[in-house]
Order: sequence, then structure tokens, then C-alpha cells
Amino acid sequence: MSMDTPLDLLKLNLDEIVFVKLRGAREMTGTLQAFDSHCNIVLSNATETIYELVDGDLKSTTKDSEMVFVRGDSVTLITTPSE
Amino acid sequence: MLFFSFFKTLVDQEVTVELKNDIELKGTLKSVDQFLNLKLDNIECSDASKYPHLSSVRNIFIRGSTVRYVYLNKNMVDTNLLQDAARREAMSSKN
Amino acid sequence: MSPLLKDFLNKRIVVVTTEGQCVCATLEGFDKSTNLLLSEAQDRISGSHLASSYMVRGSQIVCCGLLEDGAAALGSEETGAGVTALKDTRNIVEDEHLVWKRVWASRKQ
Repeated sequence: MSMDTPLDLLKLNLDEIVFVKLRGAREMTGTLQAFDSHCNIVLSNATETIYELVDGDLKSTTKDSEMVFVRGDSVTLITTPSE
Repeated sequence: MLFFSFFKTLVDQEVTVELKNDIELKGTLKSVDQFLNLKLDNIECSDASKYPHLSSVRNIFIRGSTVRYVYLNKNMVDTNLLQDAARREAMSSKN
Repeated sequence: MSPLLKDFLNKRIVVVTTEGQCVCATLEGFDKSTNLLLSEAQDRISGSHLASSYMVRGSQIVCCGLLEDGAAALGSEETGAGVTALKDTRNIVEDEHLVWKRVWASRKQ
């Protein structure tokens, strides 16, 4: 029996909605279309949220995209949404 | 190799690249190499008034390591094919 | 191996570095890790002469753009003072952990 690596588990999330945490206080949710061993990913129907502290207040901006490639070096976490 | 092949299928399509220094460049993808360095033609900087550094530049080489996102259109990608390729890549990289 | 830069050889290019520096120069050579050998380097903003020979490590390169013919340094049209400095590419938000703390706190409500 072959051993499963963490990235093998991502295979189960293909075509499902995933939550991705990114460097620079950003996160993204979208449907996982592809990934590789560097954590490069492609998401469809993605929504990016950028968080900022402006004078101590939490501010967030969102940006939608129908298809986006995310370079793996920005990715810190990939999971399924908690809802 | 998955994303190298993926970007090769996108050659001659219009893409928007967001760099890690927050600059967004829109242009026609002309070539890609195995480091995912990209070459774009006819670029347009989304915030040219703020960053005029790339004015009078049309043809640009982008180092793959400084890319944050590449925005694509839905119709450029065959999602079934891409998901299958990702599954196959996950199998083969396990060796 | 990276043949992508071949078209830029012996031409005037703009090089943006990860520190946010912007240099105009002639591309003399490159290698597979995008290390660049440049000549007649000048600052893109002020137009001031930097060096006659200039080598940039590949890891410090953000992008290289081919300058269209006759393009001058920005400083000759507008004074460099009006140009916003480019950001670096470190992708780091100050006190990012505090931002996330607030995000999680707001989510629990």
C-alpha cells in the first residue's frame, strides 16, 4: 500500500470549494481545479479577501475572479471551508 | 510540469498578472519556461499613473518567482481536462 | 536555458528589482537563473548614471521590459519627485499576526 502525503489529500478536494490562506493577510475561497507539489493552485469562481488594519480598525477588501492561478510560495494553508 | 504545460496552452491569450509588489500587468501571454517565467506582449499597467515605470514598455519578461496571481478567463480553461491532469500529476510525482 | 530573454539581448531594457529599484540598461548577457549582466545602467526615474557595467542577481529580478525606441528616462519628462516609489516584493504585512487575530475574533461573533 502506498503512503499518502499531505498533497495526496488535496486530490480529494479537486472540484470542491477550498479555503486558501495566503501570505500578506490574504485569503481566497474557490473551486480547486489544479495543484502541484509546490502548492501552485488554480481556483475557479474565486473570491480573494485582503485584510488590513487601518488606524486599529479591521478593514477587508474582496476581489472576485472567474479563474485564477495562485503561485505556491504565497500559499500557507489549504483547507475546506468550515461552514 | 503540470503548470508549465498549463501555461503553454494559454499562449496567445490575454491574461492579467499580479506581481508581489502589487503591480498588475495585462497583456498577451507570449511564452513560458519551466520556472514559470512569463513573457507578455502589448502590456498595459493597471495603475499606470501611479507607477509610470513601465510606460513605453510593451514587451516584458516576468520572473516566475515574483508572480502572486495570474487571472484568467473561464473560457480559456477546460476544467475537466485540468482536474484530470492534476490527478495524474499527483500520481506520478509520488513515484 | 531561459531563452525568453534572448530577444532582449543588446537592447535597452527596464529592470525592476525586488527592492523596488528601477534601472534602465543595455542587456549584455544572462543565464538560466536570470542573473543579468547590464551595461550603461541609469536610474529609470532620475536618469542619473549608475554604472557602466552592472550585474544583477536573478533572485533580485522582478521583471525586465523592452524599452520602445526613443523612450527617455522618466526624469527627463517629469521630475523624479512626482513618481511613486515601487513596492518591494517581500509580500510582508507588518504585524500580520495581529491582523489575523482580529479576523478570527470577528469571525467568532
